[in-house]
Amino acid sequence: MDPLISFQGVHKGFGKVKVIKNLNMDLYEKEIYGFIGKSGAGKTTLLRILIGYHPISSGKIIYKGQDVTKKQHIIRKLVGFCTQENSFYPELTIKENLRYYGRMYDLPGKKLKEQVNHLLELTDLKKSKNSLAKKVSGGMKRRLDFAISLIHDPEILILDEPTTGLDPIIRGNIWKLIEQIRDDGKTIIVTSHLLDFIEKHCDRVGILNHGRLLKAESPNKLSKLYPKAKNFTEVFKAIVKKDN
Amino acid sequence: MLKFSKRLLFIIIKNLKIVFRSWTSILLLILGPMLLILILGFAFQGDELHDINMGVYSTDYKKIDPLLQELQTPEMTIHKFRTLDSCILAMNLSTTHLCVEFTQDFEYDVRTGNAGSGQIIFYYDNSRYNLIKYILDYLNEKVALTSQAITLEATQAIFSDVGDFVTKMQAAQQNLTQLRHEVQVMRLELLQLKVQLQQTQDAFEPKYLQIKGFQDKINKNQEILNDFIEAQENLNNVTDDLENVRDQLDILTIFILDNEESFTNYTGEYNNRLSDFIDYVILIGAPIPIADLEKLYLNTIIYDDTLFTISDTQLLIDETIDAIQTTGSVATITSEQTINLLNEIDNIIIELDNVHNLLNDSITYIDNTLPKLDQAILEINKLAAEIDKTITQFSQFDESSAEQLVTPINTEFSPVLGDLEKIHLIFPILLVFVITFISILLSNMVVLNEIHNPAYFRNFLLPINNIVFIIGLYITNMIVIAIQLFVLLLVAYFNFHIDVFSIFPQLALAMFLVTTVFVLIGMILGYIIPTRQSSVIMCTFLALGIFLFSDVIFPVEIMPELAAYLANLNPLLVGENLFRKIIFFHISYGDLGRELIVLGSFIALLSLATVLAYYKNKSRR
Repeated sequence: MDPLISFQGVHKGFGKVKVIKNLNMDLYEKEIYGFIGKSGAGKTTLLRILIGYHPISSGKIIYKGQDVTKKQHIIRKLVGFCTQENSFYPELTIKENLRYYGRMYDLPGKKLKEQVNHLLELTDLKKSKNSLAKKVSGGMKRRLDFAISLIHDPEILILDEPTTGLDPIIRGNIWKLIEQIRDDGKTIIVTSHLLDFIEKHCDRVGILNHGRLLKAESPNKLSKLYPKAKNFTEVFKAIVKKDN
Repeated sequence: MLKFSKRLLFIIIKNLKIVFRSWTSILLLILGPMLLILILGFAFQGDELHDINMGVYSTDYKKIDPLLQELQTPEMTIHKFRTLDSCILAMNLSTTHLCVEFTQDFEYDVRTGNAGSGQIIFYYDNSRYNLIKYILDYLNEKVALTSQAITLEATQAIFSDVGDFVTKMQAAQQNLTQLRHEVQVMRLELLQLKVQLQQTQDAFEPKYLQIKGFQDKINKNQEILNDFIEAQENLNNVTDDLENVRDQLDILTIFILDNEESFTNYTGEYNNRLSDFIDYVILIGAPIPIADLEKLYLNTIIYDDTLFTISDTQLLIDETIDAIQTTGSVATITSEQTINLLNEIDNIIIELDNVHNLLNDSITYIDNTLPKLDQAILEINKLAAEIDKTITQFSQFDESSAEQLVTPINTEFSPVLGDLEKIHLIFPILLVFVITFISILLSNMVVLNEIHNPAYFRNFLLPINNIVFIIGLYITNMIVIAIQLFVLLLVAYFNFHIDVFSIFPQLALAMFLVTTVFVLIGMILGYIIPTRQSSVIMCTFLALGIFLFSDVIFPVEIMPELAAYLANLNPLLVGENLFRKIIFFHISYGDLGRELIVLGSFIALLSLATVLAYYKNKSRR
């Protein structure tokens, strides 16, 4: 199967500091790809490269066989992004937020309406669509953030620590939603410190350390590399330790 | 472009929803400007000075009481102090607004209202310059008007005297003209007299010389006469000679009689003219010695004497001849008679000499007098010219010129805006202040709200040009401020009757430009200063700086040259000028070139700076 998007020999530096070094990675359709790494490993920078916020220093980005390295507007339409913190206007209602961002992506009226309704149903926000965003619960806010990220129907959804600050129940619901979104046809890239959830819900996991991608395999394959490891966290630590 | 416009529209709608979703925002937006102008209108509606307490110090209040009574008005209360220090202290303690010292030598005439001497010294707290300006204007008006009226009256009296003097000078000028005419006539007559005298002399001289010849002959014949006693034959010769003498005397008498009348007339006329002339010279005080002039009188009596002498001589000759002829005898004629006869002849010759001399002298006198008369005419002309000049100079002054003399530059201050209320007069500056503060603070707050909004980062991920967000925020600010200004204008129009809608197109453009400048300043500060607190404080200081670096406290004209130049570029000051010109003088766009160029330049520079500040802010994330 051809990858949806490929990163080939990607480097990213800020001045003399090299944050991402020789990244080679393929993403396939309808998979959940988890990035894990210690703080400062380069996860956030990598995500920002993926969403087209930071241009790369060198290397190539190939989307469906087409070089889009310097075509950030294509990348931006291709991906949806959820930051660690919610990123919407609290003073607007849920529906207004969705409509606003839909307009920013030039969705025509009818399609916008359909997309808003679809996302409201997908994220289970239909009943609260006219509530001000600042007045809904934490889980709903997170779901609204997902919905906004999907308003332009991107092929890839990037989630940066999607369950940070949420209680375990809501956290479980969010992961269910992520799987639903994947099932809805999206490719999902997710970062999280909660490695149990990564192991449980991700199809593949990439381990970053000092800006380099050490491993990119399914959780099972990674676990098999360290059979003595009691859990996925120990697997991660062992891989990183070996690299250090 | 359509996509750009649509996105811009949705951004603006989103921004406005965020702004107006808060009730407090709405209240502030609507009520803020309304309250502002109502408070200012309430404060500045009055136009008259009132409740002014003036401290007064004098060593002798009796002298100044009448003046103080004039100064005491319902608006001004006067407080007397025993010492100057206590008077000044009361002002320092704000019990009084100023202290006025009347110096010891100060005099005030109750009857005329005339301040004779001395001085009034005003002590005032110049830190309260706004109030003091009004008080001093009020006092200056009261005191200066009285003083000017007094001086005016005195000067008018002086000018009245000057007028009288000019009238007298004009009369003297007429007399002088008459005198000049008289002298000219006299000169002409003298010339005619001279001609006449010369003719007389020409006629007289041959006869005179002939008689003189006879005299010589008689003198020669005297010896013969002496022998007459001895020789009678000589008697006939003597008789002939005597007859000849008598004939000549007849001719001379006839001549004298012929000329006597004209000579006497001319001489008399001449003497009269000379007498009049001397009178005029005395009257006008011309620099001609009178004694010299008196010498010019001509003698007329000598003619009469001569005629009488001639007549007597003729009679004597006749008698002698008769005696000679009658007696026919030399013996009858005594030598004594002959001697007498000869003496008489000598006398006649003497008289004729006198006539001869008189004619010569008269002609000489006339010759001497004519240049003097010419000189006198010249002097009279000079004097007339001087009087003419003097009259012309003094004629320029009349009583109506007194005011000009009292106040050499006749000034009148006429406010071109008539009696507008203060709220009208301060409206342009109120408008520009409202725009300045609201624009800077509001735009800063809106930008800060946007960049601190959790949704802000998502803007960077959108596949659209970031400029659209900057423009969206700018337009949002402009709309919000436009609403506030519209409320302000409505209150100004309906509550204070300030006619802002007849010039609305010009005013709207001016408000647009000024608002844009300050909105961009507020946005820039919002983008470049990351924290809310620092940004708001910076905006407040900047607005205050712009406010103080204008002509609000002191006029720009008293600033140092460089500071004044920079202050004139202050958008607040430029905006104030723009509003004043439009609201008060309805000046068209064409005459607002400087202001429009300055604001346009500011907008161009600030727009660029806003974009740079936006990207600077973005790079921090």
